[in-house]
Amino acid sequence: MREPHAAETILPPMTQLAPARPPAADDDIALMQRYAAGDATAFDPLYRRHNDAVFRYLLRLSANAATAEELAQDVWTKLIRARERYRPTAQFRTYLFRIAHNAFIDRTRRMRGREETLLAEPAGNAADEPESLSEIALLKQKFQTALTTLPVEQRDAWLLHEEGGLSIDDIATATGVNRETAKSRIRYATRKLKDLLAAELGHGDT
Amino acid sequence: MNDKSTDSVSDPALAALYRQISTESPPPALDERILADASAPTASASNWQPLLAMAASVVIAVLVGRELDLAGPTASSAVEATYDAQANEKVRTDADTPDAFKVGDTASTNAEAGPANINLDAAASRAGTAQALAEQAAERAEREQADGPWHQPASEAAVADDAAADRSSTPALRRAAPSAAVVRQLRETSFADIDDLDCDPETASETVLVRCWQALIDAGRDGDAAALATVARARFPDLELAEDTE
Repeated sequence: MREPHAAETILPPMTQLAPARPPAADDDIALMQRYAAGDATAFDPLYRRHNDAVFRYLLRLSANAATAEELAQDVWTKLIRARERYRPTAQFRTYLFRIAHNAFIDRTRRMRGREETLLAEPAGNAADEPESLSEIALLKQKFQTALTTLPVEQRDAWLLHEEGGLSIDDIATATGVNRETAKSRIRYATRKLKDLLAAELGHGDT
Repeated sequence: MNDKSTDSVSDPALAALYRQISTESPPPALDERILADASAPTASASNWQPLLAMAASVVIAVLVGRELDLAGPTASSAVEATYDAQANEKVRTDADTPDAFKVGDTASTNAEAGPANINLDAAASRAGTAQALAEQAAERAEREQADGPWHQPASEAAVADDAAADRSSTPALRRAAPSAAVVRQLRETSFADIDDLDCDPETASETVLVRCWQALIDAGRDGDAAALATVARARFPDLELAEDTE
């Protein structure tokens, strides 16, 4: 049985729930270029701006807080080490989430054939003690369970879209598929999530 | 920023629900580690590139020296072993090609797999330059001995003949055939400290050769492992040696 990550149990007030969506991409690129040029102070705002989304993307994708933490560190470490080779050929957020996507895929490949299964961990233990969870925690758990039922490619594409804020073209680039495939994956994922979470969506609408 | 409004695949209600539940942040300890890593000074390219080049030069020099020592007065066998009776001119060109390229078509692919993968082709690739130089030296020696008897032990000449016969059978074997210099290097290599295995490259079974190769990799003896693999592949073309050691 997994202990819920501290970050999963501490919820901000509802008024703060809308996540801060990415700021101007040009600003990101400028910060990254400054950092690549040796200005270490440029990294901090860049990190603060994107670290939550990267972590949540990896958390939802892997369904495992410890794995997400490990992968998040891997992502930022790769970015730090590759900073001198950074070229603004794409939006910074696309670049960052592409690293995150690749980190997850690499880990999945490494885990393949081993006993450890990256995605096997259940989303939580609400079924055991539902009364111990708040309404939002239950909702979170149901959402994660629904996400986990999706094929990993669909889950990945949907999360890149919703958590990463990436366009379909960017998702296609990041995942190495054509635009129509990326779009289909998101569409299928959306349809299935809507089916699985119909009750919650109805409840949310009222 | 990306404009998702043009994407008809997004469902506003579902997206709103997701935003409601997706509120986690990474633990502060992770932030601290990453921010500390980000502010740590790293060696710039101008600092490490000369060092890397110097280190690479030293490694190449050592390998070349070792290969030239091995080529020595009997180097003609290295060239003889690469002859193809059906296409002398073609194989003469092949002899100038480093073994690493003949052995592993997947060398570049393996390189892309990253430093965590220790594999045969990477090791063979490192020995490639030295092998090419050794074979050039062997070619010179061959010209001197063109009319003379073989100065190799009978068994080694037999190995070369066997290798030539094998090469004529299939293209795969032709690529993987070891030079006599490689065989001799392996015979002169002490495997006594390698897990008490009988690593005779000419007689060991396929299973033992794999264990020998892995033991050499584990011992950091990549050059010996590459040579062993060359012989092993000549005898067992389908032998799978590359292994992810992560």
